[in-house]
Amino acid sequence: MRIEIAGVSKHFGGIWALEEINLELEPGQVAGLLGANGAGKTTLLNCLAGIVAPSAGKIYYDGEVFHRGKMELRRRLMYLPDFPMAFARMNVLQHIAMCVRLYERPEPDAEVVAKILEQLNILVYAGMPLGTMSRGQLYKAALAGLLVVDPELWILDEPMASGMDPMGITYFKREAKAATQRGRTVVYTTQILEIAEKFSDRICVLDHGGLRLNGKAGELWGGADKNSLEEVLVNLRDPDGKR
Amino acid sequence: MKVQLYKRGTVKRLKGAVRERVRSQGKKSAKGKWWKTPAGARGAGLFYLGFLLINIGRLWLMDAAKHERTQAVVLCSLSLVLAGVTLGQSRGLWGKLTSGGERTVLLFYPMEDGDFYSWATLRFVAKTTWIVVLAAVVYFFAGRATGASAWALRVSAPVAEWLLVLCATLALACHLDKWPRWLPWGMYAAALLLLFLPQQYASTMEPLGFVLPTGWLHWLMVNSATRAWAGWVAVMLVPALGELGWWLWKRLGEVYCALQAPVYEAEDTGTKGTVAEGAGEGLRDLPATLIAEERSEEELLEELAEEELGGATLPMGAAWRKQRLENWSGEVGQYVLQGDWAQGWEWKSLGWIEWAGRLCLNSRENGEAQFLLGPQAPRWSGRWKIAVIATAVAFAATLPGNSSLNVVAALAFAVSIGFGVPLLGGAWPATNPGRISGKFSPIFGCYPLSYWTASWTVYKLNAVRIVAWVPLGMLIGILGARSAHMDLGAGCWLAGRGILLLLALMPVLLAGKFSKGSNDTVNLRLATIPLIGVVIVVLTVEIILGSMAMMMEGVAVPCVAIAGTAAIAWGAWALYGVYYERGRVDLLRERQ
Repeated sequence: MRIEIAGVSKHFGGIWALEEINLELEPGQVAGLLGANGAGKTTLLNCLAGIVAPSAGKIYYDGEVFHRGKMELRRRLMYLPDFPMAFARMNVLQHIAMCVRLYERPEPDAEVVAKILEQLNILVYAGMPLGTMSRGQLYKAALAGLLVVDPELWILDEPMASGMDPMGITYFKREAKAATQRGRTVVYTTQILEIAEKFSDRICVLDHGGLRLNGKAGELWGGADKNSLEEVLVNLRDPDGKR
Repeated sequence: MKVQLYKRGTVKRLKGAVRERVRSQGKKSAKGKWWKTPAGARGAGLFYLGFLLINIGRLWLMDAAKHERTQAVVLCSLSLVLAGVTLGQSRGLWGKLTSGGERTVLLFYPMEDGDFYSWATLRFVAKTTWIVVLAAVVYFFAGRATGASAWALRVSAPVAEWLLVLCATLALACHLDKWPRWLPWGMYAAALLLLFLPQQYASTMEPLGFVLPTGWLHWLMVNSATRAWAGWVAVMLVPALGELGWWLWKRLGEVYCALQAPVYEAEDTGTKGTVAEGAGEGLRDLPATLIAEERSEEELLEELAEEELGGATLPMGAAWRKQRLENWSGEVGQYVLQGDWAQGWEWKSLGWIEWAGRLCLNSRENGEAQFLLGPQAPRWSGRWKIAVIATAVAFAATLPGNSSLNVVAALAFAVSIGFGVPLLGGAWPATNPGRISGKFSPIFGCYPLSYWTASWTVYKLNAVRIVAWVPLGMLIGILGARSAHMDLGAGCWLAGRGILLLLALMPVLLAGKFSKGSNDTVNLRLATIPLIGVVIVVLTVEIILGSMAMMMEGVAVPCVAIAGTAAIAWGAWALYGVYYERGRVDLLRERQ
């Protein structure tokens, strides 16, 4: 799915969470959104998912304007917030079945689902209510729903800081990379720069609601006479090196 | 003992420093939103306010000061309410101390259990001072005595009553298993019933109210032999109850700290800690078959690991391998592979109303309905049966023709309507809020749910429930007409109008279901002003038309009014749908 964010701004009262974001993402990419706390990363994801509407500007998916009412577009994307939305009294399987139904996917292959749950190491908890799970397990359950649905656009808020164990994160990264090979687009936020550098095909840095940097991983700082992504980010906030 | 989590002075100083810093950087003003304190639950005290208003109204109407019986009824009712409050508060207090949000948060900070206890209980006590106000207002209106004793009563009795409630709360807090959860609500219901029951029935309930710990002071106040010195008893009670409360507070603190203290046993049986009890209970809830097979699997695991790795066993790999064996051999693995779980529930097996509802839905609507209903299958047929029973009770109450039983019949009618009809659009758990990035969003916000199809699905299911209730509604209309000495046909027509009006108003109620998860009615801004204007106009017109439909004589005018109501409701629903689907509102709220 090709994403075009054209002049998107969002304000909450007098605070501008996003200011004229312009960004294009081609299909088959992993795009990492970086930035300080309050930079606007989650707000941008919320806009991409239709949770909030931009105060100005538009979002296009495959050239079509996106808004909350466009169900055919919404069924092509899935959003996992930092605390995934799910019914506390549903178990993992019920949650997956619900996702499949809402996204109008064919009945899932039980073998495939079992395999995903096993890979995420939550197979034994498949019958457990989501409300009794740890945060990492809950995220895995939601991720299982996403993997079964396999939408064209994955939108994930802080998947690397979701409480998932290293095996879960490794599995997620592997599946996300595989998904991009199938033409899926993955947009996620993170604060872990090492992961962002290695995992992302494209890195977008937001600061104070604006898009400050956007480019292929490795190119952003290589040509800017900087040693690392960390230095680039620090330099954004403190260009003179003063504290 | 720390009874404050932070010093207000420190916060004030820091706030000033931050403001200065922000200003010096030439950034936006630090006014308003940045320092906004989250508001508490607005409706928390509504019940008690309602009770107070009902009481005052009742006292006013019956001129309580001149009617001894009425005074007794009101004070007895207050005893029941305060007993219910005591039971509810003790459960609430213990919940705050053991599993509440504050406890959970403060477990992560170095705070002594005793300090937390002091902090939490003092906050709790401060929040119960409304009892003094409630009691003072009731005593002021219900008081009959005059002179110094009367004023001693009016001043000290509310405080004494409050201390009584606190003492009982503290005494009961660690004995929650001794009474059922519904008992406080039973007390509230009895209190309300007492206020409206005919005098001869109310008299039979009075002893129940006065024997309660919260009732004996009231008994002193209404008893002719003790009334004169009840005020002075209250004055003396205050220090005594204060002392008792202090002792009970310390005693509960000791019990609480002893229960919270972690116990570690370095024995062969393993470590046990009371703090962790209950936490992650479900995680340990592995199928028994897995535990039984563990030993043999471990042996197998060793063999497999040796085969694959040539004797070099990696701990991580071994753990994975073990888990894999457990997963696939267990009941859960088998269940997952069966694949039946993906089917959703079978409506037909749930009951006849659910089955009828399913008949009205296509495949997509079926999926959306199951999502909107959340994890639990609906129990509409069960609720309908309760409505039938309530209607039967109403029938039995009106049969003897005794007007004093009309209150019972009216309550039974209310129960029948409450259980049988989705009055406010029904309960749809997917519209409930969930946390997202520090704010709240309805659960459906993160899933592709269309306003149009979802609300149409809900409309059809609600309509089925209403149609199922029509015979009961007609019976209620007939019984009401009989009690009011009206024509039975007129009663039927009145009930029919009510049902049609509910169906006509349903679209507005459904739009409200979507609206409640959005920010359209909070954070008033320029874009929402037209919406609010339209809402006010729509509601006003709907109220006028609804009143016409129910009050006007004949058939033509009510029919036109109902049709008008329906047309405006559908128009408002469509208008809000366009507004909603175009993303004019955010599905994020700062409060639930």
